[in-house]
This record gives sequence, C-alpha cells and structure tokens, in this order.
Amino acid sequence: MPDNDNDESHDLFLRLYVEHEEALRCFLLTLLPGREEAREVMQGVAMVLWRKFSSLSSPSNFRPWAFGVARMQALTFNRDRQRDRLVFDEEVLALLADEADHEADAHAAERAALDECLGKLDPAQRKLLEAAYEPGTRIDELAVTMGRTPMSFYKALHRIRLALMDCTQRVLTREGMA
Amino acid sequence: MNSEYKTMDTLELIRRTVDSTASAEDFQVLQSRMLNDSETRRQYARYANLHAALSDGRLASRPNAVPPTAPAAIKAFSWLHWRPITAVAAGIVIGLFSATVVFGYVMPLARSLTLLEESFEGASPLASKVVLEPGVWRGDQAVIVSAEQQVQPVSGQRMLRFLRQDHQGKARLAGGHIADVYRLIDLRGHRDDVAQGDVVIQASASVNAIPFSNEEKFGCAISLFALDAHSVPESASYIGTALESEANAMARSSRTKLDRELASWQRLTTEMRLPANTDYIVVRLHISQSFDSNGAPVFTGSYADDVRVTLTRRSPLP
Repeated sequence: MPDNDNDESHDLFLRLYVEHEEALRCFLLTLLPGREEAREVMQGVAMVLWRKFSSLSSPSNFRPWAFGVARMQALTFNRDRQRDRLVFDEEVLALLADEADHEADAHAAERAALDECLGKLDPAQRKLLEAAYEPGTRIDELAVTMGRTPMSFYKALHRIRLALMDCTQRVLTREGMA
Repeated sequence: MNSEYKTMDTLELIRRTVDSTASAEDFQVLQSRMLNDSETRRQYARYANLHAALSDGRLASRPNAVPPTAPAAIKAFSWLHWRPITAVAAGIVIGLFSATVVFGYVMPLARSLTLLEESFEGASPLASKVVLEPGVWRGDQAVIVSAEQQVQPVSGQRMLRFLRQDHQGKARLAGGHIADVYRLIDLRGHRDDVAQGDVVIQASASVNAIPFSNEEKFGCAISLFALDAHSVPESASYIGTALESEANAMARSSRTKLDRELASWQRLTTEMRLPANTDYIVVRLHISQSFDSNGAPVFTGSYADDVRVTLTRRSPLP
C-alpha cells in the first residue's frame, strides 16, 4: 500500500472508507447498543484505520481488516466500562461480532430494502419514528410532548421496528435474496 | 432469577437493550440467552442492524424552519448558560455569502446554538488553492445556481452545484472521481463552553441530482472535523489529507447513494461530541461518482442545499 502522506493514498482510503462505512457503523451499533457509545468508538475506528492504512496488504482486504479493527476498538471500549455499565461480556461480544460479520451481506441487503418499507408506513408511524431517531432526542421527553407515557412510546416504536423487519424480509424474499 | 423472565419475549429484552432501558437483570438474562442460543444472537443482530440503519440519518426529513430571530448586539456570551425562555427570543443574524449564522436559538428539547444555515443565496464559493478562512466555502470547483435542469432549490432560490474534481490537488481515480467543498467555522468565541466537554455538534445538508445512467453511481456525505488552533490546515490544497491526520475528532454521515428522484432531496446528517480543546470546525460536503468506463471528471447535475450546523449541550458519557 502507498504511504499515507500522499493524495493517492488519501483518495483510496476515502473511497474504501466511504464504501464500507455504513456496514462498519451498523457492526459497531450491534456490539455497542448505545448510539452515543457507538458514535464515539466509530470516530476512534476511523482514526485507527487511517493511521494504519499503510499496513493494509490489499484494498480487497479492507472490509475484514476494518471489521477487525472495529471489533478490537469495541472490545477495548467495553473493557474500560465493564464495571459501571451494561456491556456485553467478552465471550458474548465475540459471538455477536462473528454473527454480525458473517451476516454482513444479509444485513446490508436488509438495510437496502428498508427504504421501500419506510415508504409503506402510515404518516403517524413515520412521524413517531422520525421523532425517535432525531439526533439528541430523549424518548422520555419526547413521549410527554406526544401525549404518551415513555413505556407506551417504546412499545409503539418496537411494533414499528418489528413491522419493518417483516417487511424487509418480504422484500428480500420477493427479490430472491432472502 | 425473577420468574417473569421465563416467559419474557426475547425480542422485548432485545428492545430494552437497544433502547438502553434494560435493567441489570434484563441484560444478564439476554446475555445468557445469547451465549447459549444462536437464534437469539441472530435476532439481536437483525434488530440492532435495523436500529443502526434507522439511526443513520435515512429518516431525516428537512428540519423545521428556524423561527425568526431579533437582532441583538454581538458580545461575548455563554450560550450554554442561557435560560431557554430568554434565549429563544434573542439572536443575531450575520450574512456571510448569504449564509445565515444565528446565535442563541434554543431548540425545544435542549439548549442549542445554530452556527450555520446555508442556503447559498449569495456569491459562488471560491475555487481551490486558497487559504481556508471562516465564513466562506472552499474546495473543488462549485457554483451557485438557481433552479435548473428541473431541480428546484430545497431552501431559498439558489443552491450549490458541484462542477468538477480539482485535478491540481488530487489524484485522478480510475473509475470515478470525488469533489469536496469545505467550510471553516471559528469556535474560539465559545472556548469556555466547549471546554466543558459536553458539547455535541450536529450537521446536515440536502443533496439531489438529475437522473443519471445505470452505469453511474453517486454517493454523498457530510463530515465534521474538530481542530485546535495549531492544526488548521493553511491551504485548501492540503485540507483533504491534513484533515484526517490533524483532526482531534471527526465524524461523517453515512454515505447516501443518490436516487433518481428529481422531486425529492435526500438529507445527510451527522454529529459528534466535541473535544474540549476544539477551536475550529471544518464542515465538508463530499460527492463521489463512480462509473464503469472513463467518464469525464465533471459533475453535470449534482446539487447541495440547506446546510445546517448546530451545537447542543448533552450530558457527558459516563
């Protein structure tokens, strides 16, 4: 691989990172359920990938290499917080990482099918979902503004997610990808 | 173990974990099931994947318009210390290439500061090979245009159109090319607030393109780079390389593939927690085009509009 200090290397890195970033982000969110934690670790992963980019043997190995870096960063993050937070044990995290890595293509296909399924939500469901996933939203406060209890809000959100999972599965089955 | 767990739906435990509402016992039950049952792991990974995708900005619709703000004197104030009831009524609007910089607007759920609202109503961004400075766009060739090629601006009467990759400072990639425009934002006036370590910066932008061939693919993203005063790249010709290596923190939206729907704009969003020593933020709008054959390094109809950057105070991570 070329040295990091030139434009060719920079552009190649950007190109590979752009291509795989969504998968990496979703991989990390699987290992670190909290959105804030995953974001924080993602920043660290990006920095490590760039700093060590020159050690990558071939661009075709970028995805497994990047997933490996992400897995180690998540593990380190969890170790630092094992005592005071609900974080996965190392054994569970390793099994989950294997699952997410193995199913990465299937998960990517589900994400690709999601847009069609989002289009099928009724306006109230869509509004609830958008509000819940607005950056910085606190569900307990949001529930109050929408005249719900936090528990009923979470239940409604859960039902929408399950409906979306069913829908993406149907889309993939229809397209012969499931 | 509480007997209720014997019958508790695994998906409910997954839901609680993903939503960070799980108790310690909930979490241990789920962990135990995941350790021993591959189907539970499969369910968890699928659910988390959906949650991740929804968190990735694809739901983002255009934010509500910022309410009108009344002019006020510029002075050194700590926006984080404002009480919402007073802050919502005060602000200042400064035109920089017709970008609207609004201080002191407070969102309903959290005290926030809108740093930038850019609808490109003014002059064209300058080309590359110029020193970065706050208040103007730099980077690859781009122009400000009114509605054209059946694309209507999403905000105001004008929008940015990417023109081409600047070959003077970039290597040509086989099978594609990339264009970036950058905006430097000076945060030194908010040093005391940022030093608290509980400030999150959020950025969003809308993108659109004219219909393109099946052989072409376009990807767009918005990025944020946090820099201290000693790390700001001096020249736009170096910012692509230097930002990654010099930034104290960086974040990027998911790469959004441009669709072929002229009527709808796609929204890019990203956010990051600011390091306490942040003096500057660089916002980057990025577009990449890939094609099977050798296409011309020119963007014939790719647009960005309605760029927003906001600071919000959020509790530090434990």
